Amino acid sequence: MPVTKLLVANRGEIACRIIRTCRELDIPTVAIYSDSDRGAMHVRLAVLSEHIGPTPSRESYLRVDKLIDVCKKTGADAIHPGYGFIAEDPEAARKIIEAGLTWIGPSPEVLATLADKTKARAIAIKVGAPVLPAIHEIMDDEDLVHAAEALGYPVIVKPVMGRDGKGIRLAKSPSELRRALPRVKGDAIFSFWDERIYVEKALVHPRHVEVQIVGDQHGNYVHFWEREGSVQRRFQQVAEEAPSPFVTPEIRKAMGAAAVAIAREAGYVGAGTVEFLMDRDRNFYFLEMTCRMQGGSAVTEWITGQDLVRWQILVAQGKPLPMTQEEIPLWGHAIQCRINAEDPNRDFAPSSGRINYLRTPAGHNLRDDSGVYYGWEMSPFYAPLLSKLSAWGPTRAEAIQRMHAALSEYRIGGVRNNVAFHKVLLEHKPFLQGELHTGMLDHAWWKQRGIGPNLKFAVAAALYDELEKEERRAQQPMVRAGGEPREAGAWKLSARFNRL
Amino acid sequence: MKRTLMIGEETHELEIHRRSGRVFMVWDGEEYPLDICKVEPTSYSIIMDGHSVGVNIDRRKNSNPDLHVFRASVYDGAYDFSLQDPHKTLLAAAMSRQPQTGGGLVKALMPGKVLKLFVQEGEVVEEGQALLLLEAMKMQNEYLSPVNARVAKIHVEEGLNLEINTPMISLAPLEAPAKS
Repeated sequence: MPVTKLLVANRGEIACRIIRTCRELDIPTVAIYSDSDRGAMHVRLAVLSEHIGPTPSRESYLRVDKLIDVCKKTGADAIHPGYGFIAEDPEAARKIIEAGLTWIGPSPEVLATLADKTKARAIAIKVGAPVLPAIHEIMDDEDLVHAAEALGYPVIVKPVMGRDGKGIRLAKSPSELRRALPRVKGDAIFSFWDERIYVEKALVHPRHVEVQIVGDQHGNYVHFWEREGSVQRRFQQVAEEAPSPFVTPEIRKAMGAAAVAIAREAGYVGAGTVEFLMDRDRNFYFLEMTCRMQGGSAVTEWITGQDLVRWQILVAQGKPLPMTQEEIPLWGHAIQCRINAEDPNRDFAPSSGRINYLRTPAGHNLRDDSGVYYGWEMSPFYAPLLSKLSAWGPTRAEAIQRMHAALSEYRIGGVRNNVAFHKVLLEHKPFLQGELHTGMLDHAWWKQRGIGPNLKFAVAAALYDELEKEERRAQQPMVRAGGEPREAGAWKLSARFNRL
Repeated sequence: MKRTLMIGEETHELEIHRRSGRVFMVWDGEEYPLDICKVEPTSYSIIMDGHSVGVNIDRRKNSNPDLHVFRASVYDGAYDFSLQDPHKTLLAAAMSRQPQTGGGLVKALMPGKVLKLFVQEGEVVEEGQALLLLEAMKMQNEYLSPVNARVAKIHVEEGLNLEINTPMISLAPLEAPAKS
């Protein structure tokens, strides 16, 4: 399948990241934008840009018919969905392929199969990958609560067609389960148009470890070791690293083999992630497969030296994988922090507004995958991701030091952000010792801090700003103090009156 | 120039002035020479007692024009505080300016799901305080209180899916404080 001109069906950081690889490969790119994204970074980076609709993504970035029209108009012959939006939508993939375009991702059939957690689980069981005990049969709530006794609490309730952590609820007792069931069903219908749910045994303080795989159209598969994404809030990762500090070489091999076996059995083509949960005894259990490029891929790229978008394009073009498993290296350690416009002190509530200051860190073995710039207005309509900052070091300790230093340099003004939160995380003792688990952000331990040691500096800047403002005011001619106001002043004056 | 600093529970009396081409900050009576230089529109480089620290300041909107609310970002995190002109503070106290108060109904501006309620019925909220978090079209929106008020009634609960214009929270005006 040809990929000679690529439409990037996404926005923000991931669109920029895909466009950059296309520039390296000399593939012209087509960006799409909604009303509020005219000046967005991805539009500025792409070779061609087309308007696709109003700001709400349902009317723009999710409109497959418009994407196909833009391809016809611009001569693009391939679509890269990035992550989110249409990335895991089998219907979108089918329509794009039927329009004669190259879809950079697994086939619609594979997407449909793996989106169904019951079917994905059946594939894992078939290839002998360990899974957690679960109830997948459809039964009424009371029977389900009764059946859950056999699993043992806590249990976790999830939508069968769910993804991105949406709708998942934990239940520690039958009464909590009884309350959770209708809510998860409601969320499932609302988000995924499917009310099926399933109940799975929940591990206490598990770790989230995932294996990056790539398969080509000729049946070759490789894995790129694992990433650990245990640092999560609302079942979404905020920091990830590779390799996992907890996984031993033997387990790494076993997990890699299991991931490849699952991908092979599913007939998966392209880049994907096989997700596992791991308990304290290093037993791992298949969770689900994410059928797209993942947000954490930068850490995998650091430790292997590979560009996953480049691999995706090669595979979509029908070429065989450029490396065998034995040729894929594992160098050092990498960490990534997602820099979001959100307030960690207020339950990670997203923040929007104009970025009125931006200073990004720079330095050795540091990478900032950003989708914003100074002056950009963060829209409340889209994910509040500013950038993904990643750092590499020969050891985990050095990668953490580098990331910590980089975060000290990172300054963002105008929107609330989680830079300071990431710094506290990187100073957190359990984190430094590699003792991670998915519940580590459940209690807001990062909030208990008094006033910092640099208060005098912080206040001095504000005080000086006040002084300068006062001095400027003192120098201005007194327009309001009677007499004839100057021509230019009349507008201001009238505005002042109108404000009264 | 004098300012009163308010941070958390603390207040400090500050003064800043220029003397023979240099800048001095007086902090509760103690004087600190400042070498301060504006390096970017909202960014300052400060050398104080030999220590070089970069500070980025954000002036934050609030309803009281005499209260200057800042968020200053330094390498170790952000500092939220406010500065007030002590003369105006006295004046304001004398005139006993009341912040805006009033009632109203907060409605869902888009169809969505209530993710989190930050307030309870009966609670007194300030203007700009977060009331609830609504997820609509895959994103999360904070609904802020438009006025100083008391939460009269909460019409929704966490996890509930709402149609557009669904009433979410009723606000009642605060009882006027008794005038002496």
